Amino acid sequence: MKTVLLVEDSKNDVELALEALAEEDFVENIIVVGDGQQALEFLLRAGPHAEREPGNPILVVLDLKLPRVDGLEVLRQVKSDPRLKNIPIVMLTSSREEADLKASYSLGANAFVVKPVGFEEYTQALQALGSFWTTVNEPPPEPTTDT
Amino acid sequence: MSDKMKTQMNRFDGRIGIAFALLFGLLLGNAFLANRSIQGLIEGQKWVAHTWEVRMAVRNTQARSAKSVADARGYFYLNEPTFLAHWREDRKIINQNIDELDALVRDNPKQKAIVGNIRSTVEKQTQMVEGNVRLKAKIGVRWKPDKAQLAQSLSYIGAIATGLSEMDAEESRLAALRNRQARDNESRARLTLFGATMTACLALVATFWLLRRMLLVRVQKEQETQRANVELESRVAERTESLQSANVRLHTANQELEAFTYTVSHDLRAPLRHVVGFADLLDKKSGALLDVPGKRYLATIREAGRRAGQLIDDLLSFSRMSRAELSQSLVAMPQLVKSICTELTSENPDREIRWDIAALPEVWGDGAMLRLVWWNLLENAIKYSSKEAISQIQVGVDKKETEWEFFVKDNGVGFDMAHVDKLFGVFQRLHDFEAFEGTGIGLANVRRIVERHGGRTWAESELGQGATFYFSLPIERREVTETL
Repeated sequence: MKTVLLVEDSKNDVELALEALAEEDFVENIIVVGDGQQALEFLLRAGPHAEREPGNPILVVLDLKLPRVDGLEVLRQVKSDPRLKNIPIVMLTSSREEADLKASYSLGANAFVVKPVGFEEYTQALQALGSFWTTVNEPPPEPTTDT
Repeated sequence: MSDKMKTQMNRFDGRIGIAFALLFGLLLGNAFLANRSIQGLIEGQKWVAHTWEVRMAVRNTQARSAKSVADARGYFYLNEPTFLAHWREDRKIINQNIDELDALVRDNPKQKAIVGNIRSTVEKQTQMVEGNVRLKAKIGVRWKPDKAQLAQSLSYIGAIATGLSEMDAEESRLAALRNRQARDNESRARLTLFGATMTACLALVATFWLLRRMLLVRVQKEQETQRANVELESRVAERTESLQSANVRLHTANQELEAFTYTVSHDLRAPLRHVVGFADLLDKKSGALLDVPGKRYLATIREAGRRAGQLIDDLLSFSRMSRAELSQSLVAMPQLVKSICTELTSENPDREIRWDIAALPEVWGDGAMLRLVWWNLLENAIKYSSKEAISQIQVGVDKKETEWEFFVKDNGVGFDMAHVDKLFGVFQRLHDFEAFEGTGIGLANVRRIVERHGGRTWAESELGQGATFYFSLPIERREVTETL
C-alpha cells in the first residue's frame, strides 16, 4: 500500500489537511503522527509501530516545529539513514524564514511549502502536492538492504 | 607637530639667532679693542725705545765732541800729527752722529731745530779748526791758537754741549711721558682683554642658559604630547570598549528581534491560519445554513483574518529585506524599469496606462532590491491613478553632483503634504483600505532599500494633482550600509 506520512502536531492543521484532501483517493493512505519522535519510530518500525507492515511511505510531509524531536532533526536522521534517505520529504510549515529554508534544503528536503492562510489556497496546495507525489511522481524503489 | 608648537619653535630659533648674532658682534668688538690696545702697547714701546735711541745718539755725540776737542788741543799744543788724524776721524763720526740725530728727531721740530743749531756750530767749529791747521802748517809748529780763538772755541763747545743737554732733557721728558703712556696702554689692553674674556664668558653662560631652557621647554612639550597621546589612547580604548559592548547589546537585541520575527512568523501565523481555514471550511460546509447577517459575520471574519495574515507576511518580508545582505553589481535601470512596466501593464489589463520613460543610467546596487523599489513606486502610481480614465506615469532622472535623483510622477489622487512624513513609515496609509488596497508596507520597503544603498527618499504632491516620488542613489560605488 502506498502510504503518505503526515507529521503535524497541530490537531487543527491535521483536520484542515484531511478535510482539504477529503475528496482525494489517497486520503485513505495518510498516516498522521503528532511529533518527530513518533515519525522516526514509524519510519524505523520501532516502538508502537514495530508491528507495522514493512516498506517506506512514498512521501513524508513534515512540519518544522514539532514537539520532542523537531522537523529539521527528523529530516537530518532520515536523509542520513541509507534505508530512508530516498523517501521524498516535503516541508510544510508556517515559517517563511530564510534560515529554515536554507537549513531544510541543505539537509536534503525535496520541497518546501509555506502553509497558505486561506482554506481554499491550502486545499489547492495540498491537492497539488498530493497529486504530484502520489500520482505524477514515480516513487523511489525500496532499498535492497532493507529486509 | 601642532601649529602652536611650530610658532614656539620659530620664536626659539629666532631668539637663538639674535643671541648668536649679538655674541658674535661682542666677540668681534672685543677682538678689535684688544688688537687696538696691543697695537698701542707696541707703538708705545717703540716710542720708548726711540727715546732711548735718541738719548744714546746724544751721549755718543757728546762723547765724540769732547774727544774731538781733546784731539784738536793735542794737535795744536803737543804738535802730534796723529791727533789731527784722530780729530778728522772724530769730525766724520760727529757728522754721522748729527745725521743720525737729525733722522731720529725728524718728527720733533723742536729737537730738529736744536740739531740744526748743533750742526751749524759743529760746522763753524770745524772750519775754525781747519783754518788754524792751515795757519799752523804755514807758520810752523810753534803756532798756537790765541786767546780770542780759544774763547771762540769754548763758546762753540758750550753751545754744542748745551744743545745736546737740551736734547737729552727733552728726550728724558719724552721718555717719562712715553713710559707713562705705555703703562696706560698696557693696563688698558689688560682691561680690554679681561673685559672681552668676561663678556665672552657671560655670553657663553647666557647661550648655555638659553639652550638649556629651550631644551627643557622642548622636553616638556614632548612629555605633554606623550601624556596627551596616552590619554587619547586610553580614551580611544574606552570608547572602543563601550562601542564593543554596545555592539554586543545590539547583537543581542538583533538576536531577540530574530527570535521575535520567527515567533510571529510561526506561532502567530498558525492560529490565524486556523481562524481563516475553519471560517472558510464553515462557509463551505455550512454556509447555506446561515442567515444573511451570519454570512456577513463569517465573511468579515475571513476577510479580517486574511488581512491580518497579509500584514504579518508584509512585516516579515520587510524585516527579511532589512536583514538580507546587499549584493553589489551594475544594474541597468532602463531594462529593469521596462520589464516592470510590461509586467504591470499585463497585470492591469483593464487600465489604460501611458508610460513616459526617460533615458535611465546604470547604477551600482542590488538588482533584486532595486527591482522592488521600482515595482512599489510604479505599482503605487498605477494604483493611485486608477480613478483617472488614463494613468499617466512619468519616469525620469536628474544627475546631481554625487547622486542620481530618480522620480516617478503620476496623475493620481495625490496626497496632502501635511502627511508627507507618514508616507514612508511601516503600515502608514494616507487613504482608507476601501479606496485603495494595500497594507502600507511598500514605501517603507522603498525607503529601507534606498537608505541601505546610501540614498534618500522623498515625495511631493498636492491633493488631486498627482504625486511625484523621488529616490536618490550614489553615482559612485560605495560600501553598503550594515544591516540592522
